[in-house]
Amino acid sequence: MGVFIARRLLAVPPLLLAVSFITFLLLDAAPGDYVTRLAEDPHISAETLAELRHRYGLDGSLVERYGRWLLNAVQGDFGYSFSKEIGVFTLIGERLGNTLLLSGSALLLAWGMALPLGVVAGVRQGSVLDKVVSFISFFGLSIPRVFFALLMVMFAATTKWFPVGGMRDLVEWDTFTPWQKVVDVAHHLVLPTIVLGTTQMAAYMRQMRAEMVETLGKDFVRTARAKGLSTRQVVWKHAFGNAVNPLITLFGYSLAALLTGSFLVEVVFAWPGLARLTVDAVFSQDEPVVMASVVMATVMLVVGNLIADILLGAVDPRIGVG
Amino acid sequence: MAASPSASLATGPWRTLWRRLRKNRWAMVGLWVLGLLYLAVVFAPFLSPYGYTTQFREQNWHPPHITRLHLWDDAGTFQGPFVYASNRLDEFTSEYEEDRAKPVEIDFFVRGETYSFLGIESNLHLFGSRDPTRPIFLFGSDKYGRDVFTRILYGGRISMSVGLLGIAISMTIGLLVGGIAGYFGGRTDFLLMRLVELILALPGLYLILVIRQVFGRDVPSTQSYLIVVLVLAFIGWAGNARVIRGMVLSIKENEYVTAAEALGQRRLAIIVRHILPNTLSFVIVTATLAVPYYILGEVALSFLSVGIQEPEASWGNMLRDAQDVRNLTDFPWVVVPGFFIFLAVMAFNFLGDGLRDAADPRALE
Amino acid sequence: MRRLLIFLALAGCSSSGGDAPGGPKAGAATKIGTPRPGFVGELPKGAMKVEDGEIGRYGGTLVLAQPGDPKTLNPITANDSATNDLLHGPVFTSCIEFHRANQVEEKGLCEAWEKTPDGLTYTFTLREGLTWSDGQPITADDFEFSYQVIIDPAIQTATADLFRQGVDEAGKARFPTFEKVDARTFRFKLLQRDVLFHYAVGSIYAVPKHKWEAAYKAGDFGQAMRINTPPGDIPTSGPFVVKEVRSDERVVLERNPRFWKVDREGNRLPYLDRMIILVVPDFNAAFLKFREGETDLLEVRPEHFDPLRRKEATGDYVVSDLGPSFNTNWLILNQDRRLSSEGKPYVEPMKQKWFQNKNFRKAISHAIDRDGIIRTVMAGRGQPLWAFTSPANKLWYSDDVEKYPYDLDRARALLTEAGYSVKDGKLMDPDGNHVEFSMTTNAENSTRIGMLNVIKDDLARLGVTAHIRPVPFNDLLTSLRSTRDFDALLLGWGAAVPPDPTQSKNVILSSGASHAWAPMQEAPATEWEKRMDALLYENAGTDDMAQRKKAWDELLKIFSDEQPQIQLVVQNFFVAGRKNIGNFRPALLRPTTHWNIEQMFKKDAKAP
Repeated sequence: MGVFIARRLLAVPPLLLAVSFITFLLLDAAPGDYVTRLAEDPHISAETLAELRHRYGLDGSLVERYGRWLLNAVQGDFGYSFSKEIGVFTLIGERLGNTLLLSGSALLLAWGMALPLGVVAGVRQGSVLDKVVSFISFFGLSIPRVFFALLMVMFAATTKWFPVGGMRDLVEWDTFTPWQKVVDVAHHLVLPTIVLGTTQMAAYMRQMRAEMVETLGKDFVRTARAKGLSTRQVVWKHAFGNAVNPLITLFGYSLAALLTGSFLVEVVFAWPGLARLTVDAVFSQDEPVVMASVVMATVMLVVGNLIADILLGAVDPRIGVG
Repeated sequence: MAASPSASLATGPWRTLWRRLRKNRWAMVGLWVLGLLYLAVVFAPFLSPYGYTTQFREQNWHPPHITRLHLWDDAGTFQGPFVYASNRLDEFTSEYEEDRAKPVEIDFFVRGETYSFLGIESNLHLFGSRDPTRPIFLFGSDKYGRDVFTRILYGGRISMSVGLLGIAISMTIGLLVGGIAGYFGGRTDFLLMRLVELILALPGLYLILVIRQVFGRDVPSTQSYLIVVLVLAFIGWAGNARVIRGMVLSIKENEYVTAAEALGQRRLAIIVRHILPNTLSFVIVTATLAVPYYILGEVALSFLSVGIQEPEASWGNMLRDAQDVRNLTDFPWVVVPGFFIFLAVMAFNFLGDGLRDAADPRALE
Repeated sequence: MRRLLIFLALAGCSSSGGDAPGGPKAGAATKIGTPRPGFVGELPKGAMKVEDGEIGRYGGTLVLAQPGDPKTLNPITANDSATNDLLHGPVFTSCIEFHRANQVEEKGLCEAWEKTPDGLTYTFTLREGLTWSDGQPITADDFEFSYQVIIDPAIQTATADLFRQGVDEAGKARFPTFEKVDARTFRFKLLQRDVLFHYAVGSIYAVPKHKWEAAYKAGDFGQAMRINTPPGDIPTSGPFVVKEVRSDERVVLERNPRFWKVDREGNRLPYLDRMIILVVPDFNAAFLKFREGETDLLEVRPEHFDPLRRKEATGDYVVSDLGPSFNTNWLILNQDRRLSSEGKPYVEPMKQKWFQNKNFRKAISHAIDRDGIIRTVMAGRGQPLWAFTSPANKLWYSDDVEKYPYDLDRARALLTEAGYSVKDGKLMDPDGNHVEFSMTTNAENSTRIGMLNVIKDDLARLGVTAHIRPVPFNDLLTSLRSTRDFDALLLGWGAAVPPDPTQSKNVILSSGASHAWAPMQEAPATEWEKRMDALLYENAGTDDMAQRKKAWDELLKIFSDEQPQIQLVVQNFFVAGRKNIGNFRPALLRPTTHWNIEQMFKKDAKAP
């Protein structure tokens, strides 16, 4: 196992190098640069623009600039956001927590619902509950996430039961006690979590149900039943443990998507996470921010996949890792 | 993709698959829905009463006629299908009032705008209103006064083909890369799989945004459509390649492969003719289930305003109108494209699910 | 004035927590609540009295939503509207201000300014006793420092370009010289006349020298006053200080306890304790926040006017129609005669012929259904635009211009007269080429794309094939500014403050960089451009208002007759505000809803 992990970890730096270079290349290929848009102001002169370009290090060849970026990045310096003049990590750090909060709670919701519902649906095939579960999963799979999110915003705006966006009540925030703050953030979390959670849950639930159906048909389960164990014991003690194994990998992959999975939902719900920061940065060609976001998302993906593999190895000794 | 080589594949398993599939009610519903949708979008020019860019500016944001179709007039006499003319309440707010004294008849097989379909010029439309200044808007009109029904049909041409084209591209690449890596093994396998990992490690949506930035929007609409498809396929192929490689690894141990090798067939030919066909059921199931990814991908890109551009229609860019709360409350028919996306994706999921069950050898008869 | 001073001294004493000072007349003190945080220190001797508006009451928080994050807290390097709206006015003030509602000049930090008859020397005098929010005096040194920063080539600010007066032999920009006379007085020596120079000085949002000189000397000025600088560390001269900036969430401002304005009864301003600016992703979200009652003020997009108006009677807000806005929308046909660096013409000669033909431009203008644009993309809330200047401009608008109502017959007649003909529904030029061109605008702006959508349809009725070419904003600017690779282009101009003709020098002068249809001409290519150049110089060269106006009116007339820039429409501008906001006097110039923030108050602010 140790060797396996070491080998996988060794593969990470070249991967990051490649991903970052590709991103850099693409950013470079995009027309114009961060400074170009400042030219909107009819007062600003060509000299001013050239000077700014120099200041932001936008002059020089592609290789030169990538080399400069890489050299700093290796030392942990990802530079300053052009537009905000703040260290990229300070900027991203603030958002990272918010994004993780949202995608984390969606993850909890998705798995917390998917496992029990999937099991029950699998056990009671053809029942009303099974049909409801199927419907929810097809619904979750089929509705465009953006559309669902828009409908939810509409719902919030009409009923006024939930806030229409954002992460906290920014007007009253300072007057809240810590407990009220928690409640307030939770209140803001509800709708985006439902949107994100439902759409993610669908796939897990279907998988869980399918595995359960399969496992229940296996010999050892029949044996257990024959021995006179109660259905509850058979399902939860014997079948569940076996059926859930393949899903553990899926869980690893869902960890990998923690940073990027909530992208569109964040945009619709004005969640102050990484998505808005990144979209703005891409559109305004704020290079350092885009580069750092991409690198971070890549790291998260790689780590998530690694965890998935390790988990798989851990639960299923037959699969040799390496 | 290579034609299926062995005779047995064409009859036995496929017949079983079809028999099993036919028993799955939901899969058949999916199949029917898809069939109708594809027919509808193919015959869009004939089925739609207008051109998809035709503007009736005086009647923008007109509510849908579909709920206001009449057959009998107020006196109870049968008139055939008609709607009542509606008048704008004032110049600015898009509010309309039905004029019960002015029925507008709907005719079938009417002559209207000229279109070319399969190389044939025609101006025959399935239906249209008798009074050309009083257009019929089955699903309402949008802010330019374009017929939403017409745009749904034409938009479907893009949305419903994005998936097919995208999956064709990504599957072909996936099959080739997966097949080659699995069959040749060794260094080729190592390199190709590192490439696959690289693609899988790219944060998709970020990348798409950046790529769209590169290819600007300074391209004709057909090209921008292709770019959308290619970008999505570029991200999508790697996962397929990985799975196919795994399948190939086990298939190549089969006797008939060894036999083909012994007969001295070229290795690429072996991959294409003997190995890949055996992944076909996986390919079909995956393809069916992956089509929604492209349809939804186009919606996401349109949402971020980097998808199909006006005045072209796609379900994704039509749904952009629903981003404005005002439209959502005052002109609720802006969600119609959302409904069609939902319908199409759901149908693909039903069908894909059914196909998977039917193709599963462990499944009970 | 003297009475005021006596009272001011009192105010200083009572500021720490006690009741705020009442009216100036003995015994007639009005109770207007308690400011929290309270005012500190003595009111400056030269405090400015705001004569108009109601007497408000202290307390309360004003909340508004704004699309876009502030990028910096540095008023000198700020260069986007979200940041400018936050910093210029609410947080930093300048020497000379512009009354947004009345569109007239107003005194600011300076109590007086004068210029010599030759127009080359300007002298400014600061009010007496002004201090930064940290208690340090505001002096001529601060202005000297700020001016130095602005014109420093290493800093590069957009403001510098307002001061630039040509270049020297070495090609370096020349600037007026600054002279400090005494602690409260400073002087600019100009190299050439500039009728708007005092407004250039008005655009200096000075920062305290004592605080930032060290950073400047160390070459870190760009990094001073960032959005994560501890807010307490940023001394301000405006009604508020920055309390908190949370990127993509909110900005909190709190009363500057040493602000230098008083109301007409002598109560220190601002009335509001705090101001919160919510950062939202777009106008749609801003609208929702207002509808939900979370915010107090809103710039209303035309499509949101009806929904708000419908509920106005039962709601706790008012929506007002301020008439046409300053933002003009226009279409230009590329008449650039120059050759690119590769020696090729920027515009194909065939197209040049069309675009340089006056009849052709007029025909296009007549073929555009401006009412249709208004009905579709502006939700019916706009007006057709004919003149270069928007009707919003009280001083400089002229209605005596050529107008181009939607008239296809007229358009066809103009084209026939110029030798164009229609064959198989296609418009052919005199040489037998089909008229087909692309129209560029930026993809991000759905209103502009919408206008092109309508125009494309309109031109098709003339037999012209026009393609819509949406490009990213960056591309658009590159096209406009340097590569010039477009046929037609749709864009808009906003208004500078003050909205004076000289501000459009870059657009009108044939040598200007923003003379978008044919920029940077060495000599005017046509007679009418030559005449427009002359008229603008005449306008900018005198203080005589009648003469300036006459020249400008003639210019507008030529402009409309030649149609080098086809003016399209102006949107009507609406704002909404809660009924409990006092002194809500929205204006068309930015920051539209709260330009008089120091005077605004909450009518229901809690009594002490």
